[in-house]
Amino acid sequence: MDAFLKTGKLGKSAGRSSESAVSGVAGSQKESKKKSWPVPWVEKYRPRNIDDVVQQEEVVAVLGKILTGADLPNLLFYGPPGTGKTSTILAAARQLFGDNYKERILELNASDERGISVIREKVKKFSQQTASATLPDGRPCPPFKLIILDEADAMTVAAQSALRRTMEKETKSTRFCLLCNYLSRIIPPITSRCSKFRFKPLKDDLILQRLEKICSEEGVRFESGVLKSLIKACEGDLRRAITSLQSCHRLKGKDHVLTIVDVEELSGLVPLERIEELFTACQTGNYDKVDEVVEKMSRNGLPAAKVLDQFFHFVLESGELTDAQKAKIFQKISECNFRLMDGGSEYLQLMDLGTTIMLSVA
Amino acid sequence: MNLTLQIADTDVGGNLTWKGGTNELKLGVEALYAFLKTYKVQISKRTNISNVDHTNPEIATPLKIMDHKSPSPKGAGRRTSTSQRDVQSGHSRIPLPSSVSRQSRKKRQGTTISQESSSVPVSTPIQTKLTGFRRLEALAKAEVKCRPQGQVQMSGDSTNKFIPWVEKHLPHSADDLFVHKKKVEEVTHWMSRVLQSPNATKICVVSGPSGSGKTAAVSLVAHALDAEVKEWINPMSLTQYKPGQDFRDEVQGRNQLDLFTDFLFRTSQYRSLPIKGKALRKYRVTLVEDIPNALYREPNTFHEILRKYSKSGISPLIFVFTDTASGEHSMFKMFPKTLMAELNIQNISFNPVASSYMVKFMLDICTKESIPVDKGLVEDLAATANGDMRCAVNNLQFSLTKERSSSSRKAPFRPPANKRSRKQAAGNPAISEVQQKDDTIQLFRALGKVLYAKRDETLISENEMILVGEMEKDRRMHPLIENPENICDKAAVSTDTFLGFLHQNYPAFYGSLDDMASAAEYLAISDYMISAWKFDDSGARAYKVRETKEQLAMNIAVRGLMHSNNNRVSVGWKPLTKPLVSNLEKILKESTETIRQGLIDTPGLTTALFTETIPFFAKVLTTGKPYFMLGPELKNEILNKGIFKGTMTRAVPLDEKETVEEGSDEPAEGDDCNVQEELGAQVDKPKGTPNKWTAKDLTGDPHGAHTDEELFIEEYDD
Amino acid sequence: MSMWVDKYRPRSLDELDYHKDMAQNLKHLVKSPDFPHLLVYGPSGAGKKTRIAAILRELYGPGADRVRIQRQAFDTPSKKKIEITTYSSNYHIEVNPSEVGFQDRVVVQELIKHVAETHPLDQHPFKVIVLQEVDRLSKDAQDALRRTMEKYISSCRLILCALSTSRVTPAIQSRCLPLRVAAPSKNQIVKVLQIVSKKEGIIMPLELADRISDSADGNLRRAILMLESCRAEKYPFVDKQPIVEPDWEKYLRETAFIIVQEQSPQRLLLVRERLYELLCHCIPADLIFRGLLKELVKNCDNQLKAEVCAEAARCQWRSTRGSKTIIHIEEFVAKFMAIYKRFIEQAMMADDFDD
Repeated sequence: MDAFLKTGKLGKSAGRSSESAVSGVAGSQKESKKKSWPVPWVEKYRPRNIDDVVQQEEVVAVLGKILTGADLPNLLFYGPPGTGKTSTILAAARQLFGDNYKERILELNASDERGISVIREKVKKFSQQTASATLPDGRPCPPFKLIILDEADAMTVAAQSALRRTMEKETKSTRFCLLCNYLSRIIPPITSRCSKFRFKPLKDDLILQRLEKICSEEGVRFESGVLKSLIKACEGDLRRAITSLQSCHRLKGKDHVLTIVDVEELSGLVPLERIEELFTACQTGNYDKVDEVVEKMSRNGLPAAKVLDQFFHFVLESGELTDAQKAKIFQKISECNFRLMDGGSEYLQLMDLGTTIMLSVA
Repeated sequence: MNLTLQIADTDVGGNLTWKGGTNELKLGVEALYAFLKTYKVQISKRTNISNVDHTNPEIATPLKIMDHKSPSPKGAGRRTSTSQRDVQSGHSRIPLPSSVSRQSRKKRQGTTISQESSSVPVSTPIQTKLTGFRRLEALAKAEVKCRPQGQVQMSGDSTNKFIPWVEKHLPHSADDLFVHKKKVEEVTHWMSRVLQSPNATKICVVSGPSGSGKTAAVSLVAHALDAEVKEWINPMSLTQYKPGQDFRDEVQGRNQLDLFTDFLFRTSQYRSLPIKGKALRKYRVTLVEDIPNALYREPNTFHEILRKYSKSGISPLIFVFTDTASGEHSMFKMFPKTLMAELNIQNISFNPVASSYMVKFMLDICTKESIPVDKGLVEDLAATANGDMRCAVNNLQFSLTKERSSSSRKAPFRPPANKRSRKQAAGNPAISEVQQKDDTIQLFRALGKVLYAKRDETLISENEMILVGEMEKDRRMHPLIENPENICDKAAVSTDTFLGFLHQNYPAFYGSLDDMASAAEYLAISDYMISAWKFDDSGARAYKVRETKEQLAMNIAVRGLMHSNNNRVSVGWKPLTKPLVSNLEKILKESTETIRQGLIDTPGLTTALFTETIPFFAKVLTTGKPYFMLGPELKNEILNKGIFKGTMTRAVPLDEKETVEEGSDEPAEGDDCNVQEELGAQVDKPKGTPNKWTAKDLTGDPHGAHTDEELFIEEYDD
Repeated sequence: MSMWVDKYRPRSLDELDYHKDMAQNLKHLVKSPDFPHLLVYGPSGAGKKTRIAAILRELYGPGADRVRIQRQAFDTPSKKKIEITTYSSNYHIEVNPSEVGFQDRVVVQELIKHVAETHPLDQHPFKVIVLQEVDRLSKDAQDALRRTMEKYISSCRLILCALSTSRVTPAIQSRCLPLRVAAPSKNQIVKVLQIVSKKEGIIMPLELADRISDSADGNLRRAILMLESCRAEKYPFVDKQPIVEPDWEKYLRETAFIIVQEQSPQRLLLVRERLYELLCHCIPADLIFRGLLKELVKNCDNQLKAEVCAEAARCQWRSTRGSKTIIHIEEFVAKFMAIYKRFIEQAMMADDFDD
C-alpha cells in the first residue's frame, strides 16, 4: 500500500507542501514530520462529494445513479486541465467507499509510470486484493476497487494496448477511471471500453463564486476586479486560479491587499497596455516603432507565447478591424505560435506578427 | 584477388573462427600461425591456378581447395570438411574492395592473406587450452613488426600479384611517401628528438582520416631512424562482451586492459629477441593503433594510463588515431586538449592525400607492375577516393586485375574528353562494377546529375505543357534527362550526406539569384524534414516514419534543385567540394568542452559564454595586460573564439581537408598547433592587420579556398 | 582573479541594486513556512542568477556560497553514460540539463531523485535544485520534471531558470511561482556601473556610463563586461572613449553590409564563408538571424521590411529543427538578396520613368 501510494499524486498545487489529502499513509507520515506546513488551498477546498463539483452536471448525474446502486462502468474523463476531473472521481470514491476510500483506489500517474510492465504489475497486484461488498461500518458498497489513471494520454501506445487486455481481465473486481486532456491520444480500443465524459471549461461566474468563498475563508483582501482578471488569466482553469491566488497571498504577505498588477504579475499575464502599445505601433505603419515595442517587451521578459495568446483575444474583441483583417492576423498568430513552440526565436516571431499586422491595418 | 580474413570469434578451446567476407573457417592457433607463416612459401610453390577465380567476382566462387595440392598433408582431411561446409553453404563470395578497405585495419595484424591461402593446412587440434590468443598475439606481433622490410623482400617474387597492392607497394622510403613533406618532417623531427633526449615528450598522436598514410609514415620514419616499431595488437576477446558482465575473469584472469598496460610498460623496456634475419635496431618505438575498446568506454582510465606512461614509460609512444567526426571514438574524448597540454602530447594531424599525389603514386604502381594504364582512370579513382590512398589503390588493383584477366581490352578506359563514349562505357560491366563497388563514385555521379540538371532539348515535356494559370510561369519546355527518383535511389548515401554535398556545391551552377533563392529554400525544407520530429516518434513505427521522411526529404532536395535552375551557368568542368558542414559540429563540441572545462568556475549559459563573456574576455586579453592567470591552451581557445580577424584563417578547421596543396609553400593548415601559434603571434598585432589570406578571400574568387583539392566530375553530356 | 561581473555580484537580497520590491517579496517568501517551486524568467543579463543566488543565501546563510564543481555521471536506460557538470553546496545543486542534449530527461529524473533521497543537512527541511535553461528542455524532460516535482516535494524544491516561459509547458508553470526579472532600465545600469567603478577605484565619466548602458541593450552583464574591457583598453578614460564591443557583432554587421553591397551568386558564396566563420565561433544561429535582420532592414522601405522579416522568422524557425543551420541562414540571405535586388531594380526603373 505504502509503496504504491508514494507513486500516486502527492499534491497538485504549485510548489506546495505534500501532505495532500490524496496520499493517505505516505502523506500522514510526512505530516508528522512537518506539521507547520499549511495544506494547499487546492486540496483544502477540493469538493468532498459530487454535488460540490462545479458545473459538470452530466457526469454528476451519472455518478449519482451509481451511488444509488447502479453498476459502475469503466470511465474516461477528458477535458482541459483544472475542470475538476480528479476532484470528481475522488469525491465519488469517497462517497462510494466511505472515509477509507484510500484502500479501495489505486492512483497511477501515467507520465511517470509509462512502462507496460509497471502498469501490468501494479494493476495486477492491486486487483488481486479482494474487495468486500460491505464497508467496515457495515454500509454496503460496490464489491470492486477503482484504479485511477491520471494523465492517461501521456501513456505510450504500447502501454495503452497492454492496458486494454488488463481492463478486460480484471473487470470482475476492478474498475478503471482514465483521466486525460486529449481524447484523441487514447487508442480507440480503450475509448470503446469506457464511458466517456467531456469536462467543459468552467464558467467564469462559477469560478468567481468559488474564489470568493475561498477568499472569505482565508481572509484574503483584494481590490475589486482582481478576481475577474485572475479568472481571465487562468482561462477556466480553477486549479490554476486557486494556486495563483494562494501564491499572491503568500508572496505579498498576509496584510497585503491584492491588486490587479499583482495578479497579472503572478499569473504571468501580459499587461493590457503592452498589447495595446504593440497594436498602436503596428497601426502607425512604422517598422521601427514595432521593432522598438517588441524589443521593449523582450527586455521586460514578457513571454512571447503569452503575448500571442493575449493578442489573439485583443484582436478578437477589437472593433476597429474588419473580419478579413482579423482572419489574416489570426492566421499569422497561429503560425507564429507554432513556430515559437517549435523553437523559433521570440523576437523574430513577434516581429513577423507585428509586421503582418502593420501591413494589414495600415 | 584478395581475401581478407579476420578473427571473428574464438571458442574456449582456443580455436579461432576466422571470417573472411562471409566465409568461416575454424582453425587452431597453431594452424593459424602455421598458415601465417607458410602461406608465403606456399604461394611461391604454386602456379597461377587461381586466375580463373578472379575474373568474375559476382559469381560465388567456390574455394576450390580440394583441387589444389595441399602443401601440408597432415591437416588435409580436417580442412576439407571445413571448407566443404563453407562451399555448401554457398557463402564463399569474394569480398568486395570496399570491405577490403574497411577491414584494412585488420590487415595490419597480419591477417590479410590472399585467396589461395584459404587452402592452408589446418594442423592438429590445440594441445593446450591455456594460451589461445596470448600466443597468437605474440605470433602476430612478431609477424607484423617489420612489415616494411618484409615487403621489400617479397617484391620481385613471382607470386606477388596475389599480394594486395596496398601491402605490396607500401612506400619503402620517406621519399616515396605520398604524405605532405611537412608532415613527414614533423614526425621525423619529433621522433628524432625523442629518441635522442629521453626526457622529451614521450607521447605523440598522429591523427588523420583513414588511408592518409599515418602508419606508413610512422613506420618509415622509425625505420629511417633505426628504430624498431613495437605495435600493440588488440587481442580478440574470447567471448562476446556483454554490458554489465565483468570481463576481467577471461583469459587467464587478465583482460584487455591489463594486457594493454602490460604491453605499454613491459615491452617498452625489453628489446625483442634477436630473430634470425632481423637486424637488431638501436631504438624502440611503441605504436598503438587500436586502443583497446574497453578504454573507449572509460576515457578516464585511459588518461590515467597516459599520465603514468608519461612519467615512467621509456620508449616513445605513438598513437595512430583515425579521425572520425564524432561519436564515442572521437579524438577529443580520448585526447582532450587539456590532457594534451598537461602531458605535453604532440599532435600531428594528417590531411587526406591530395589527389595529385594519389595519381602519381598509382601511376608508379602501374609502372612497377608494368601494366599500361589510362591516366583518366587513375584520376577518376583518385578523385573518388576522398583522400583515402588505401581505398584508391585497392580500387586500382581491382579494376586492373580484372581488366587483365578478361581477355577483352575494350573500352573501360576512355579519355575523359570523349564524353559520349564514356557514358556508353558505363554500360560496360567492367567499369560499372568498379563504380558500384564504391559509394563515392556513385555519389559524385549523382551529384553531377542533379547539379547539371540536363534537359533533353529535342523533346517537349507533355506534363509541363498542361500547366495553366499560376503554374504556367513554371513551365519548362524540355523534360529532364535523368529521372530524379533514379538519382535518389542510386545516390547510395544518406540524405543528410547528400544534402550536405548538394548545398556545398550548388551555387556554382546557378546563374540567377532568384533561382538560387528558391533552390536554397528547397534545401532548407529538406533539411527541416530530415530532422524535424526526430525524437517525437518512438518505437518501431519511428523507424519507418523516419525512413519515409528521409526519402521525401531527398526527393525534395533533388527535384527542387533540378527544377529551380532555369538559368544554369554554362559550365564545363566544375570542381566539387566536400561539405564543410560536417566538421562544424565537431568544432563546436570541442570548443564548448574546452571552454567549459577551462572556465569551470565561471558557470554560465553557453550562449552567454560565447556571445558575451568570451568576446570581452578576449578583448581584455589582447590588451596584453596580465589580468588573468590562464593556461596557454585556454587562452588560445578564448582568443580563438572571441576575436575575428576579418580573415579566413579560423575557418581552417572547416576546409582543412580542402587545402592540401602539393608542393606549395603554404604552411600546412589545419594543424591545431600551427593555428594556435599563428594566433598567439597575431594577437599582438594591431587588429585588422591584413593577413595574407585576406586578399584571396575578398577578391571574390569563391573557389579560392577550395581549388586545391578539386574533385572533378565531368559533364556527362555535351 | 575574477572578472568584475563576478567580483561585484550582489550576494544577498538586501544588496540587490534594482527590483527592490521583488527582493522584499522574496524575503517574505523565504520566511513563510512553505517555500514553493520557483520559475525565474527574464532576458539574459537581467540578473536572474544573481537573484537565485541571493535567495539561496537567504535560505541557508553563507554556506550556500561554498560551491563545489563536480562532474556527475548518469546511466541512461540504454546503459550509455552521460556526464554533466554540477555546481553544488551542502544545500543546493545547480545543473543545466540541456548540456546533454536529448538525454536531458535522464538528468532531470535521476538528479532530482538522487538529491531528494539524501536528506538535507542541519535543520533545513529541504534542499534546492536549480535547473538552468528549462525552456530548452525537451518535452520528455519537462513531463518528467512535472512528475518529479510533485513526487519529491517533501525533501526538495526546484528553482527553474529560463529566458522565457513560452516553451515551458503549462503543467510546469502552474506548479511554480513565477518570478519575472525584467531587464534593468538605462538609469539602473548607469547606477550599477557607477557603483562598480567606485569599488574598483576608477574614475568614470557619466557620459561613458551613458553610452555603455545605451549599447548594452538592457543587459547588465554585458554593460559591466564592456566597462571592464574599456578600462583594459585605455585608462584613464578619455573623451569619446571608444566602447569595446564583441568582435562577432562587428563581423556580422560587415557581413550584412556585404550582402547589401551586391547581390549575386558569387556574393552569396562569400557570405557563406563568413557565416561559417561566425558559426565556428559558436555564435548561435538565432542571434545571427536577428543581427542580420536588424542590419538588413535598415536599407529597406516598410513593405520590404515586413517581407524580409517574415522570411527571417520562417528561416530561423526551420533552422532550429534542421541539423545544418548554415543552409537556413543561407536561405535567408538568398531570399533577401532576391527581394532586395528586385526592389532596387524597381526603384531604378521608377527613377528612369520620372526622368
